[in-house]
Amino acid sequence: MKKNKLLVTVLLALLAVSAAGCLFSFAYVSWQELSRQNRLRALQDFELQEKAARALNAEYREWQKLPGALRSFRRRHLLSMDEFAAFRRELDARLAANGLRAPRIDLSFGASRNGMRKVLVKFSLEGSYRELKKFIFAMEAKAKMYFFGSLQLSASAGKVKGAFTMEVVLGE
Amino acid sequence: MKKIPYNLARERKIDGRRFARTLGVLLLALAAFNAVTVFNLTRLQRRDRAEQTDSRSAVRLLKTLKEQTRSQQEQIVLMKKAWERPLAAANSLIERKRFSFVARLDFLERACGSGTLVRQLSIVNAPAARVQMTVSALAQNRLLQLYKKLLPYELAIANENQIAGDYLARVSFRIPDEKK
Repeated sequence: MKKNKLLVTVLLALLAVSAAGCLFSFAYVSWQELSRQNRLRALQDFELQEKAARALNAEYREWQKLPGALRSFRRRHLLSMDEFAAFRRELDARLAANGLRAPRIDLSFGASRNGMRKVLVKFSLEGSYRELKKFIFAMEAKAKMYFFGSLQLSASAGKVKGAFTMEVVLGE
Repeated sequence: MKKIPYNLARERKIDGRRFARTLGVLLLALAAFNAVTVFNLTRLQRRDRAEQTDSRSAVRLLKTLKEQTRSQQEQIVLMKKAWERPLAAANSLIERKRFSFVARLDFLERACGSGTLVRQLSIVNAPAARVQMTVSALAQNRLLQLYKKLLPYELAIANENQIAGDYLARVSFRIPDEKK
């Protein structure tokens, strides 16, 4: 009988300790969950910062590519002095191809800025609307950096008179 | 004659089955408590170990990342300073090269139907520039039709005159670049 009592007492004591341990484990888990939330928040912050850093890195690479891209742009699209002579021939050829003739072409060279110099080309033409439009189309289609700055057309007696300004950009 | 049972034992007799049941219940409860405790702690430990490794490496990476970001930001500022003006100049040239006079003439051909004649036209290659046009028509409703078509393009009518049966109007508007 005594042995049995002792056994039950020991078991009850163990049960109490286990119950306390179990309760403690729940409390511990909850406490750890809180610190885990903080850790997760830190991880999320890290992910956000990593994303921002990736975007910045992409921007940085773009900026690194920029000098090369600008050099290539200048080489491919700006005209050298030799190419400016070619532009003049091209202008004359396009005028002749569309049956147009410019009685006078005025050129004015601007000052050099950012390694570029603008040349303003002014001329007047007279012809049919179709001829003038074809000429404009042909000049706009060129990849080199020259473009029309303005045009003024006026219709009179079946013909169209056009006053054109073109800008040619020379690279230096 | 009635028998009277006497228990002469010093202590009460134990009901073996009941005692075994109680013992069983106690043992089961003990096992359940311990199992829950072990489950809680091991689960936590397993998850924590993985996450702590992650967070430790994240902290290391974050430090490197911050240094890299700071250095890149400094270099970007320097590069911007050096290249912003040439870049703006190149972009402005590209913008002007993209400006299409032919696209604007195409637009006008579609807008001015039969019965109208464009007498004067002025187009300037600038983003905010307006197309100036003097247009004539034999009937006023032709002009009104043209106005209706140009209304979405910030149309401004400077004046309209009737000269010997001819309606003449000076208008200005902004045409979007169709190449874009």
